Amino acid sequence: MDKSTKTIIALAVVLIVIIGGYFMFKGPSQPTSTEPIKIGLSSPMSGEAASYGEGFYGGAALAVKEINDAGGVNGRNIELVVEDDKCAPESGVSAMTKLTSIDKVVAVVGPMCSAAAGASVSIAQSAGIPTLITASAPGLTKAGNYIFRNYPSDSYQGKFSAEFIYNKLGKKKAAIIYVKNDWGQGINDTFVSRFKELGGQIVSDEGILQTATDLRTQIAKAKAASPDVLLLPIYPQNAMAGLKQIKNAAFNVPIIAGDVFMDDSLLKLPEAAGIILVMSKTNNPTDFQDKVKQVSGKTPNGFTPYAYDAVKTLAQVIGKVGTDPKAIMSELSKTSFKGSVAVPVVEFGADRELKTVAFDVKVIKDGKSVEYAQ
Amino acid sequence: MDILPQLILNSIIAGAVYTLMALGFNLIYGATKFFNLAHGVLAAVGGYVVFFLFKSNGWNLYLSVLIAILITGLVGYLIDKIIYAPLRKRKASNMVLLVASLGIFTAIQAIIAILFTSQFQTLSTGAGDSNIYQIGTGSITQTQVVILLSGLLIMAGLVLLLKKTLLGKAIKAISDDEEVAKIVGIDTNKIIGYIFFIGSAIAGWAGILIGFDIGLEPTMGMGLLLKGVIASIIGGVGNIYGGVLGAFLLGFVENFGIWKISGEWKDAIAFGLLIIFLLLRPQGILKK
Repeated sequence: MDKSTKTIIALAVVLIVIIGGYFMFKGPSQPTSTEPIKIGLSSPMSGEAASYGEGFYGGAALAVKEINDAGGVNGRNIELVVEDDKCAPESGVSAMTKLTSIDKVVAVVGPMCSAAAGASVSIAQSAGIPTLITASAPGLTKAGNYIFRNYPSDSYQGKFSAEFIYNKLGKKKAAIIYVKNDWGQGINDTFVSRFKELGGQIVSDEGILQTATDLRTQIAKAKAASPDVLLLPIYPQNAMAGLKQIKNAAFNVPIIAGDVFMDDSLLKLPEAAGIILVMSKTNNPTDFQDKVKQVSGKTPNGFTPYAYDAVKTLAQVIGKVGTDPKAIMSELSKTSFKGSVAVPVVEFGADRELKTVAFDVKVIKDGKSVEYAQ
Repeated sequence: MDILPQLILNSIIAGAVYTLMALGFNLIYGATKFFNLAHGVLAAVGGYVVFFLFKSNGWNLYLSVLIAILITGLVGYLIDKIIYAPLRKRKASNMVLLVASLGIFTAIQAIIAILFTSQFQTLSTGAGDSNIYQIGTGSITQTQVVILLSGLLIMAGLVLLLKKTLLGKAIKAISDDEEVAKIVGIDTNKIIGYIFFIGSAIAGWAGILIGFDIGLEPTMGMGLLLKGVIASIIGGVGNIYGGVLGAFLLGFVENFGIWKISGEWKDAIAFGLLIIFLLLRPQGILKK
């Protein structure tokens, strides 16, 4: 053998080793994968907002069980990877980072808290993982084309509350006590601008921290401004303490709150009676709630059906286009899912927000929320 | 409408709550010279024991409260006996004790969350069960009056205990110098055990009252602890009157601080006050 033959053989051997090794490690190419499809869930499972998180998780868990019991998606089961975002920015970021880079999920459901979502949606966007949020702060979907919201944004809720108070209740002087985070600020801002536009007056506008349970001084200030209605975009743990403090302060004006008050222990609180809830129209039938309770052992709340819808919508999309995140993203923007519970149909507009949003007004009575009648 | 009377009342109520936290914290700090972070979570323990006995199982209120105070004291005592005492014996530094207490804090908080969920709970059965007294244009509830009176009574009780009893003299001796106290024949470990029992029982009582006045959640301990610590530091760490004075000063400053500016500034104001004191008067209002 001359020198060049040796070189050619040596090169051939090297090539065979490299190519063979590549295929050996890559394993059998293409479809036959039977591994579960991982979908991430970013939700508060501990901390102040844990009670929402439990209901949110329950909805997702029921959807996963139904899908898997029916044979999965293209023969593959769905596996829910749950990360605790504690409804806080730092934990939101670490939850989303873990889901997208370590667990390698194909899509994410949540965050459901605006505080967690504000910081983490850009991580999902830059990782290119389609994310269906139910956090409501306006502007979250502006993070990019991978961020969808199957939940009405606060710009609707703040606006609708303003219109309801001004037009239906006929009140013109509003006080606000709101949680100083993305969610509370979002409702506060849209409410204030719409209410003023209508001709109303904001006589007191007080922020509280998310952990606050002593609201007495904020309440005293609001009362001193003599409003004729109080808007209360705060969380149940603030409200369960605050409502009693409002009553103790003999501050008797109609209270307007939103969907977050749909919390079992809050509704049962005697002080909660008579509070008017302005919220997106969410269908949450009892038989659905019973199923959630049975499957997950968690108490359902107003967020439960949205988590269910998000998982089911993703399953429909993955069933059609497979598990490539980019394909899922582009299919989501044109999908129409009619098997949803919370809303009649999940369809996204060009802004990746729900196309059609209906609102509902309820009032708390006898430990339940019932339809509001004039 | 005049807001001033309510503002004063709110400050007094907040001050009374911080007093209860500061008293127990100060007592334990005086003897052991380390920041016992676990003190905060003991308030939650007291509150949740009452929640379990009184609200879930329908026991008599006064019996439940009494048992809860004893259990909280006992938990504090056991923490000292099982964890702090061996560490002290090994001459562990205060930093080690601090970290250990943080571990205890987190562990107990997690256990409470597992047993009772993270849901916010209230001990009271409704707004109507507590009488409301009108003072000028302000109002104060019966529970809040109890908080205020018990804070002052416990302060007086502690002063009497320290001044008039043998146990009190032993506690003072340990606070002054543990080594010397040992040499003159005081069983310091036993006395420190008693101190933990008393201090923790006061924290448990605070947690119960807060459960009635505001409500309970497993994470309530940290906020209470921090406010108690601020009160102790600005009042003078280890000084009983100082802790009370600091607690009311803190209550007034944080409530009056948000009179003219928006309410979310409350905690920023409280901790700002702490930093000012640390810089300008680190020994606090009253020296030990």
